[in-house]
Amino acid sequence: MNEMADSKGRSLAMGKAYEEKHVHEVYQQIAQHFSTTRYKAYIGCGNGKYLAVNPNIFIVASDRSEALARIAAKHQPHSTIVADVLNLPHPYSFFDFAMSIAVVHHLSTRTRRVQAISEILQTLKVPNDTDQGGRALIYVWALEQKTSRRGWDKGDQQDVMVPWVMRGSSVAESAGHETQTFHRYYHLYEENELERDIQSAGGFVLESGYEKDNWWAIAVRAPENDESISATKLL
Amino acid sequence: MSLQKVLGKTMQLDDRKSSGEKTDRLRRSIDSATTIPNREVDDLCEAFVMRVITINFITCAVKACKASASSFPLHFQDVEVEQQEVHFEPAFIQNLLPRIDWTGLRTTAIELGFPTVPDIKPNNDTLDEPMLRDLHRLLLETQVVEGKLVCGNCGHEYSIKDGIANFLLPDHLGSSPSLET
Repeated sequence: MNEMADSKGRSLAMGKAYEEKHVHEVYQQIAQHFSTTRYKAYIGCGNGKYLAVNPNIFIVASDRSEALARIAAKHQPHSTIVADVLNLPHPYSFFDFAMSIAVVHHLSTRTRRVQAISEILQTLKVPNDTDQGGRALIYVWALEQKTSRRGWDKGDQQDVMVPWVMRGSSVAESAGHETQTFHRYYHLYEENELERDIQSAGGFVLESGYEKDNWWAIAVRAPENDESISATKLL
Repeated sequence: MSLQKVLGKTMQLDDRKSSGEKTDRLRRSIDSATTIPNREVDDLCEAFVMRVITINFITCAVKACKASASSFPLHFQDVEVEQQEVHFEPAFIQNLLPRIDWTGLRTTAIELGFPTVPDIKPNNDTLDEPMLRDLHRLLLETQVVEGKLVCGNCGHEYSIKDGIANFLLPDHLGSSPSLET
């Protein structure tokens, strides 16, 4: 139970330091293994697999983990940088499209999650009368995944440590074939929580849903103090 | 809805100019660009590149700088530049052009000693093949392997190592709320 995250205790602790230990360090360690398995499993953030969907675009991919960014750079021709979702190095009101898969749920307080979403939204072009603005696609892990092998469901603890089991041979540094288990911090999103966080972050949800243990939403920046643009126009 | 569908639905681009054939050619060009020739590679340390185009989409990560015009573009310093051949795909450059901040690109080109960027952004009428080739060479083939990116507003330096630029900020510069509110 010590391994379980305690949202009350942590709310007073330093979220950043917590994530450093329980998210960033782990991803640095498991990056190689993570990437090889994830690459085939589904579309991962920044590894470039989704370029086949529409090659007619230029993408700047980023990851907090340098180890992962390096693997992403290997797989796609566009651009990969190391950056933190809370301090993205992109101009405001700039992109037509932003995508964040399995990132926001690694932030360990609601304030930080909302700020991450806000940071993503602010890179998007602002909607106006003639332009619907940039859109963001955000995926987070769902609390409601009763049929997954982890079996979490509604009402369960939302702040969890999720084990990542790695055979020793998968990491260059580790000798022998010992099994190593790493734990990553996740905040499991409950139904409607992603939409709430997007609203708090100054976003307007165009569409949202559930897919295979994840909640997803497509959002635009909500127009600020401009009554001439009604929310319905964005649709 | 599957992620592929969501992406297909959301990532609609201006396809008016792109015939299916062009799209195929673009896809081939992107595929070919993933393999950078003439470089010794090993399993993990393969051809990381910071293409010049990237810098046109990046600014200082410090929030206070983003409102300042002097934070864009970041300035290259002490760079080691390489030219790597990338399959020439005129349509890709053409589609990229409307997104380019031309003033920013000119600044970057001068810093890298790249002389052939015209004063005014070419449009579809003035864009000829030699110009497309020049742009292709600058945007995609010119790659910064080592060096620094410096913000013209706050002076913060971001390092580029092995072709990967690192924009993580030290604690005192980053915005990083810790407490639940």
